[in-house]
Amino acid sequence: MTGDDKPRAQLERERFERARSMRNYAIAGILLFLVALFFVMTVVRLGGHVAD
Amino acid sequence: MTALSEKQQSLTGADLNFASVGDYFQLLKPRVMSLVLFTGVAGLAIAPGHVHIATAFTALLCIAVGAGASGALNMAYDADIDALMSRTKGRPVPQGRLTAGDATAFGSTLAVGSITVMGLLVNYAAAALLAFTIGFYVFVYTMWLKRRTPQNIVIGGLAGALPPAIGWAAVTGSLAVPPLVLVAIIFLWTPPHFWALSLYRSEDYARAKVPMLPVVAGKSETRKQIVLYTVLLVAAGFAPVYLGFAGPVYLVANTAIGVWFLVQAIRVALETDAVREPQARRLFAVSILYLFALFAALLVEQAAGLSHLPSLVIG
Repeated sequence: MTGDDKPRAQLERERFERARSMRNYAIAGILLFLVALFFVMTVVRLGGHVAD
Repeated sequence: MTALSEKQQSLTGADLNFASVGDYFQLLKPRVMSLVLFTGVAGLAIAPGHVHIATAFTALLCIAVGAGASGALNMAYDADIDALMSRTKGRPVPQGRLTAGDATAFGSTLAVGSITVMGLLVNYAAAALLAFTIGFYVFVYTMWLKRRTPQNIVIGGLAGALPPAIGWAAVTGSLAVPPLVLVAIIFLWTPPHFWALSLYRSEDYARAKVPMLPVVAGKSETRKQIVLYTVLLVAAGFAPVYLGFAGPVYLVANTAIGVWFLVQAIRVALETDAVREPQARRLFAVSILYLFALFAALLVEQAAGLSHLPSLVIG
C-alpha cells in the first residue's frame, strides 16, 4: 500500500503521532537546557568557591 | 490502552486537530521578540559594571521568553478579533490548530518560568521589571485598552518600551536615567510605527471593531498625529548624546535616519492614495529601520569604546 492509498484518518493519525513526538522532543530539549543553564549559573555564582 | 489513546482511536482524521511545534513557536511572535531582544541587549550593553557572559545570556533569554509569553497570552485573548483580520487570521488559535486554553497555558507557563529564572539566576530587580512588563502588556494593553480606546498603542507601548530598562537592571540591579531615556524613545516610536500599520490595515481593524486611531478619528487625524509623534521622537532621539551616553555614530544615525523618518512621516501626511497607502507601508518599514539603527549605533559605540556613561545612576 502506498502513502496515497492510506485512509485519511490513518494519515491524520500518523501526522498526529509525529507532531506529538516532536513536541515531546521539544519539551525534553527545553528541560535539558534548563538543567544545564542552572548548573552553569550555579558554577558562575559560586565562582572561585565552587569546590568549597 | 489508556483512556486518552482510546479516545484518539475513536476520532476520525478531521477531528484530530493538533498543533505542531511550529504553531507554538508562532505564538511567541518571533519578529516582535527579535526587536524586544535587540533593545534589551542595548540596555544591557550600556549599563555600567560587569556581568558574567552566562548571566547576560540568561537575562536576554528571560527577556525573549517573557516577550514570547506576552505574545502567546495576547493571541489567546484576542483569538476572536484575530480571526476577523486578514493580517492575523492565519495564527494558530483562530485557525483552530490550538485552543485559546492551550495558548493561555503555554503563555502562563513561559511567563512564570521566565520571571522565576530571571529572579533566581539574575536579580530580583530585573525579574520585577519583567513581571511588570508582561503584566502591563497582557492586562493593561490586551485586556483593557486595546478594545476600548484609540490611545491603546500609545499607553500600551510602555510594555514594548521597557526591555532596555530590564537589560540595564540585569547588570546593575537598579534603574537610572540612561535606560529610562531609551524607554522614552521606544515609547514615542510606538505610535507612528503602529499608526502607519493601522492606516493600511484600517479595514481590518474596523471589521474587528478595534478602535485604532484611523477607525475612530479618521485617517487625516492619524496622519497629523504620526507627524507630531515623529517630531517628538527624533528630538528625544538626541537625548542620549546630550546626556553623554551616546557618541558620534549614534548622533549621525539619529540625524540621518531621523530626518528620513520625518520626511516619510510628512509624505504620509500628504498621502493622496488612501486605499493602498503606499507611503504608510514605507513609513512602517522605515520606522523599524530607525529603531534598529539607533540601537545598533549604541551597541557599536559601546563595543568600540566611543561613548562613556556619566554618573547618572539612581539606585
